[in-house]
Parts: sequence; structure tokens; C-alpha cells
Amino acid sequence: MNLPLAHHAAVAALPVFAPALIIITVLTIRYLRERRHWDEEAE
Amino acid sequence: MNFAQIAQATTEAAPPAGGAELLQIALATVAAGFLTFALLYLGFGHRSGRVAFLGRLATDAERRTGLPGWAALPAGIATVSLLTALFGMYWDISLHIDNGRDAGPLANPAHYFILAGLFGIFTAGFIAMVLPRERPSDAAVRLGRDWWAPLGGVLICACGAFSLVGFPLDDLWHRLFGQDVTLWGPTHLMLIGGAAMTLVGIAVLTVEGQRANVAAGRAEAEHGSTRAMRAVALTGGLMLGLSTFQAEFDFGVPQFRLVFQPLLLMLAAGLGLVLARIYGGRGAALGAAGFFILMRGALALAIDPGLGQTVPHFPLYIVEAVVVEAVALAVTTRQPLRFGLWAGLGIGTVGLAAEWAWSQIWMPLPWPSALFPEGAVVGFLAAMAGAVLGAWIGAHLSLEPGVRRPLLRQLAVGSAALVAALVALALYTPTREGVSADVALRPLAAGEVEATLTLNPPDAAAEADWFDVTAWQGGGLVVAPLKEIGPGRYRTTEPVPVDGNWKSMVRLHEGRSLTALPIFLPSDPAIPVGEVPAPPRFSRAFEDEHQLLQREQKGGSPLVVTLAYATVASITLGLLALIAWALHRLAFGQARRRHAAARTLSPRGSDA
Repeated sequence: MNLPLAHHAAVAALPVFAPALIIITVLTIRYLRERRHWDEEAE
Repeated sequence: MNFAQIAQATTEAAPPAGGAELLQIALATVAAGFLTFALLYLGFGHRSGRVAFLGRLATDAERRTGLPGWAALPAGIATVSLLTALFGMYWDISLHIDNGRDAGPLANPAHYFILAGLFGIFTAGFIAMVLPRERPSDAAVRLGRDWWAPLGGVLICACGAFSLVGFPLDDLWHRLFGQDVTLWGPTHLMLIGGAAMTLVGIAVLTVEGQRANVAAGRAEAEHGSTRAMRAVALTGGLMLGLSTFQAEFDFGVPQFRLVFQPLLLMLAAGLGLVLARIYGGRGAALGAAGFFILMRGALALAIDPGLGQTVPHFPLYIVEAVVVEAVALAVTTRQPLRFGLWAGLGIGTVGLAAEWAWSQIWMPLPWPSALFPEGAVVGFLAAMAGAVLGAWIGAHLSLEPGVRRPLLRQLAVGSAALVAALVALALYTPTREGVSADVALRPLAAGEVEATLTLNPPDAAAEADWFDVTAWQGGGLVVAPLKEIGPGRYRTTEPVPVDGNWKSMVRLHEGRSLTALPIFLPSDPAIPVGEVPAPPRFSRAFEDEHQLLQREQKGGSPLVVTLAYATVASITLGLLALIAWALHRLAFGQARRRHAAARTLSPRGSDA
């Protein structure tokens, strides 16, 4: 069975980028949560 | 006769031009899930103190190099990853040139090296970000209340992510517009551009490490071997990265004007070698060129005869390196603009002449006299622009706090604009109409012929940048010049394959025009297109060669094309802006922090 949205040399495309996407998302969420805390501390 | 008209669709089987097997997707997803979990576990485990693995590796790297572990370990991982991706990239290109497109996403072994390399780069950046327990440098980026990530780590991570996002975008791109069988597809450039820019991230990370040593009173802690390796391998690596953009010329199947080769080559030499000499000190430019030749030489031998694929040729850069070292004897690198301008002048003249001579010796497409004067002018301007950019980057990678140099900054911006303008001008390729040829084929061995062409008009190839027979994707590559045997009459100098999956054509690049005449093209139901046969005698017109070289490509609506290019361009500009911001932060972050501290001590903001 062939999936349409993954071909050529892209090597299964989205799963390949998924780790980077997930890790960047985790880092960003953590950064935004922590930033709120240190902003409150600064005030 | 138009070759599109003579093509007839057939029904025989062909490798797929789209789609991937479910099993391959499943494998990739499982592998990605495992890697994600492993990185998050190791990274956040290290930060919470529950997992000691990364810390132990970093301590070992610090002991071996003398640089802080948070700089040494990721720099090492990124370097190995880059070399892995580089090998995969050149092997992959040679496989596609020799064999055409893949039967499936995981059917090509070179892809594993590319993927492992790019993911390794991202991993290196992430590890650099999670490793430090304290603020590692003045330029560090705050991620949490007690979490400061080295600026170089953030850059490496961003470059890795930029490259990796090229994969899904590449897939989407091919889905929309077909497979552009060229290295210079926009999303392909993202893949290699992100990897090349990683070198700047590694340089920033090591500068932060060196500064941390100085701040800790361990200025001499870095081992001599590490210092030498850093100066040579990092800058040589940058030369490798900058040279990847020339790959189509290295293999002898460029799909863009020949003037791009001196342009890209001089840009790489100017930027890379000037930066090498400023960053690495005495001998670093020569070391960078030596490292480049060593690695590309090993790579070429690994691919041919090692793997039996088409060999990637490479420039030497050695004369340019000698020029840069010689200029450094007369002009101090502490004046980066002055040094860069003089070095650019030497690279763009003496260095360009040397590469012109080298192209006659080993390059698959020697630079002809028709390339002069445009190639010389463009090459010179590219060398000057590259040298100024190299000087600007080098000035920001200093161990000492940055010195504001508005003229250098303005000229660097101007140089970037100049490079963009040169590229845009070189991309303009109107097709010359009205050139055709009568072709006679004489059978040689089975499936091979000798071709004799009579051009109309006879002088159509008199001022050609290249006029050759190219046959590829049938199990190898043939690039052979045509020999003039009479006015307007030419004969092939090597057997031309005209069966199986070979795509054989006569290519003519004259002025700005890039055209080709098909001799034989196989049917390809997957695209679908029919066979262009090779009868004993035929007359055909030279047409836009992109139709032949990129048969898989299909057009899109102007709106979709504009949106697609705008998306890729905005992501690329975002990465370039991030790099520029990071270099500025590295150079001036220290001064800004001291200034902020002084303001805190003096509530009214007065220094008095």
C-alpha cells in the first residue's frame, strides 16, 4: 500500500521532522511557562 | 519535429514517481518516536539530575579537548554528523545521476546517511542547550529560571531543524510540482543550506567555550591539538559546506548557466578562506584548503572506485589560500575590512585564474573562452563580496568584546545584496529558438551509437559554453564533448547509449540559453511520458533543456507557485536573520551585559 503524501527522497517526510518538531514544541512551551514566572519575580 | 509530439505513451512498468510504502512510513515513525523519547529523556533527565549519561560524556569530552564539555561534546557530535550527511549527499547525488529516481523512500542507502547526519546536527544543538548547569557565556540564551543555553547550541539546533523541515516541505513540493531532478530545487537547498550554516553555529559555540575558559582563569586549558583541529577542521568544514552548492558542476550535469560555477566557487573561497584566516590565525586558510582537499579527495575515492558511482570532482582552493595567507603577512586581520578587501582582490584575480586552469585539468566541464569576460567579472565580484562577508563574520567570532564597525556592516549588507543580484541575473535563461540538427546514428556495440550532427544554423555552437552529449540515469553517466569535423558538423567522441533507461541528449549552452536535443529517452508511464526513439536518421529542434532534464516536473498555478516560493524564502530569511542576530549577540552581548550591570549599580543610569 502506498501513502500519497510521502515519496521521492523525502524518506517518509513527516515522521522525519517529527522529533525536531516535538522537541522544539516542548522547549517553547517550557520557555513560555518559565518566562511568566521570572517576569513575575522581576515585578 | 517537436520531441513532445513524437513521444507516445506506453504501458510498460516503471519505478513509481510518487508514494511510499506503508511499511516504510511505519518504520520511520517508530524510529522517530524512539529518537524523540531518547532525546527528551536524556536531556530533561540531565537537567533534573536524574540521568548522568550526558554529563559523563561531556566530562570526558572536556578532559580530551580542554574546552568546556557543553561546547566540546556537541561540537564533536555536530562535526561527525556533518561529515556523515556530506557523504550521504554526494553518494545520493551520484546514485540519482547514474540510476534516476528511487524505487521508494528507503530504497536508497545514501538516504540513511543524510538522515542520520541531519538528525545528528539537531541532536548536537539540543545537547548543547541542555548541558550547562550555569550560565555558560554572556551571549547565552535564557530558557528558564536557572537554564541558560549556549547561543551556539541554539544556532546548531535551528540549523538542524531548518534542514529537517526541508524533508516534509520537499515532499509537499514534489507532490505539487513533480520531482525537480536538480540539486537546486528550493527545498533541496534548504537541506544542504541548513547543514552548511551549522558550521557557523559550531564556531559560535566554540568561541563561547573559549571565553568561558578565559573567564574561569583557564585561558590555556584548550589543548594544542584541539586548537589546531578547531582552526583547520571547522574552517575546512565551512569550505566543504559552501562547496556543496557547486555539486551539479562537480558531477558534470549542471542545469544552470556555467557562470554559476566561478560565482559559487569564488564566493566560497572569499567567504571561507578570509573567515578561516581571521578566526583560525596564521596558516588556517592553508589548513582549511588542505582539510577540504583531504575530505573531498577521500569522498571522491569512496564513491569511485569505492562504490562504483560517478565521481564528484572538486575545486582546489589552494592558490586562493596561499593568496590569503600572503595578504595576511602584509595586512593585519585585526583590520578585517581592509584585510578582506585585499584578500578578495587576490582571490578574485589570481585565485580565479588558478581555478580556471584547474577546470581544464580535471573538471568535467572545462571553462571555455566563451565564459570570458562574464565569468571573470562575476567571479571577481563574488570573491570580493564573499571576502567582505567572511571578514564581517570573522570579526564577530573574536574572543574579545566586539568593536563596532559600521562601514564593515554596511558593506556586508551590500555584499549580500550583490550576491543575490548576481544569482538573480545568472538565473535568467531565455531559450534561443530556431536551432535544430540533422542527426545520423551509426550503431557501435549493442545499445550504443556514434552520432553525427549537422547544425542549423551551422554557427549555433561557435560561442558555446558547453556543447556535449550527456547520457545519464541508465546505469552511469556519459559527458562527452562533440568534435567539429566540418563547418557546422560535429561527431560524438564516446559511445552514446540509446537503450534501457538511459536518457541521452545533446546539450547546448550558448550565451544565456540552455537547450538540448534528445537522442533517446525511455518511456516512463509513472509520470507519464512516452519514449523518444533513436532512429538511424532524424531531425529535431533544440528546446528548453529543463523539459528534458526534469521530465518529472509539472507546473502549478501562479498563486500556488508564489505561495510555495514565499514560504521557502521566508523560512530561509528567518534562519539568516537568526544567524545575523546570533553573531551580533556573540560580539556585543558581553558589553551589553556589563552596561546593564553598571546601570543596575547606578539606579539613575549614571556612570558617575
